[in-house]
Amino acid sequence: MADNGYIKATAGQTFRVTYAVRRTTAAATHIVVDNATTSTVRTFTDEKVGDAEDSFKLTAGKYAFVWTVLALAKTASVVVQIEVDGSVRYRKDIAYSSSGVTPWGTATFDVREA
Amino acid sequence: MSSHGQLSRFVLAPALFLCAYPMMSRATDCDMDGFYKRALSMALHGSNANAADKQIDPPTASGASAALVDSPQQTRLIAAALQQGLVNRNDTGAFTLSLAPFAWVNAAAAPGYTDTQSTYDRYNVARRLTGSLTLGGNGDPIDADGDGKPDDPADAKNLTDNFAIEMQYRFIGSRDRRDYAIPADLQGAAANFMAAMAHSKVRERFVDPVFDELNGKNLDDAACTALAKQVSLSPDFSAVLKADENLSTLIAQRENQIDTSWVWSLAATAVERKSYLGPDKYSIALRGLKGIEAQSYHKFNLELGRVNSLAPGQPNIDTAKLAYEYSRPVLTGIDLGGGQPTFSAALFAERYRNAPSPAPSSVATLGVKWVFPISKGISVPLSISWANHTALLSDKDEVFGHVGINLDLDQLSKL
Repeated sequence: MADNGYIKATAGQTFRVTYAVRRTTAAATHIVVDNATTSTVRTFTDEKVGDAEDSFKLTAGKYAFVWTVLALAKTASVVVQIEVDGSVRYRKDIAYSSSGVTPWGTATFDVREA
Repeated sequence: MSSHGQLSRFVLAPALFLCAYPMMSRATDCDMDGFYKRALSMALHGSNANAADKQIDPPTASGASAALVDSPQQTRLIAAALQQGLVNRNDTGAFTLSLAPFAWVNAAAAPGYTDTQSTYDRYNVARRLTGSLTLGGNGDPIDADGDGKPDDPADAKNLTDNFAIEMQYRFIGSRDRRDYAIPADLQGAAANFMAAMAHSKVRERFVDPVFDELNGKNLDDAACTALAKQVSLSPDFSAVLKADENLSTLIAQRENQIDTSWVWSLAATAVERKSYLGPDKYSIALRGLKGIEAQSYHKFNLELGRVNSLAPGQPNIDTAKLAYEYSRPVLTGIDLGGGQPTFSAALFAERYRNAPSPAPSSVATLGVKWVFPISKGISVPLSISWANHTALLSDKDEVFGHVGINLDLDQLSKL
């Protein structure tokens, strides 16, 4: 699993992101930006996040993925996972109470032509 | 088995279970996330909910408490407070058990049942209702031998000899951050931060080329630090830093708003006990709490009550009490394992109607209290109080103290 945040993929593959946020009120948002071609921005925001997921087909280009959880309660726990064609390529499993900072993370997808 | 033993098992078994609740932790690797976080020299805020103004002492009416003023914000989970007299050691101590419905929901449900916010929201009303049952502890200083002088407060010989029950409903405010939605300005700041991260040119210029070469591996520590330094000095990173700072500031402001808000509760208390411990007492109270800044607060109590007469033919005594407490952290830099110690100063005045002679018509008490958190959820309260009279008995003044151990299972369950 390549999970250092720089992920190579191929156009046509399915990108799927899942969130599981616990023990907080939270506004979780993920933004995926296709900078190279269509500048597509996908967002997800919910004040009361439990479990959520989104998926779409990748096209060629470079994607920046950024997520954060606005957790006022320090007891939040967060699991963020990205799969490409069912293979886990990025996973963050954070107990907010032990990190002491607002959870956030980022990844880059370099998607080449099929 | 004694009732003491039964209670120990009843209280400590769930405590041990909650202590064992798994704590997830993860070392910070220098992947892309770790690298950016190193580059961002300022950490985003995320302090604990302010637990210092929540009452984990038994109620003051129980006679087993180091507290002089009751809080409208009480611990929700099963609380065990074992406190013992400083001078007269009590072999049985006092036990306080939460009667809060939400505590029992948590105890009865599967672990993690209320972790999701939608489930948590279903118990909004239940969380407002808290209560406690205190068994055992000390009685009042009564004249048991009839010599006209108050005797030292007796210790309960059995837990069931001293019975104090209290129910409280919080009708305004909350310090629980899960009771508050994320405001629009914070959501906007988070979106700005994420957009700044996504569009930052440092990604294209510095970061992606390095991580592309790593083929999924993380940066070693020296390379991570060098790259973080290079990026942090880049003008292209300034938008990210600014958005990060703005987000941190807004989160801190929101936390401060919650921690300094008003909380008001109504409470009803009954103390029933064997006559050697003192008369039965009943009261209703209005309790207020106002945070000043993180960990500092003002607390107010207005209480009307009745004390049943112990002597045949004597009327019951009506009481009115006004109490105030100020608390703040002290000994900056000192952490015994559970956080900074706190200091409280409290004053309460109580007036009596139908008090038998030579009892005074009023009593004023001044108290100071230190709380030393020795680990997460475990603290040692130490209090010293001075009263201008020994309540309802003589015109002598009195100095008395308490020391004990408080377990806050709300905190222990988060470990």
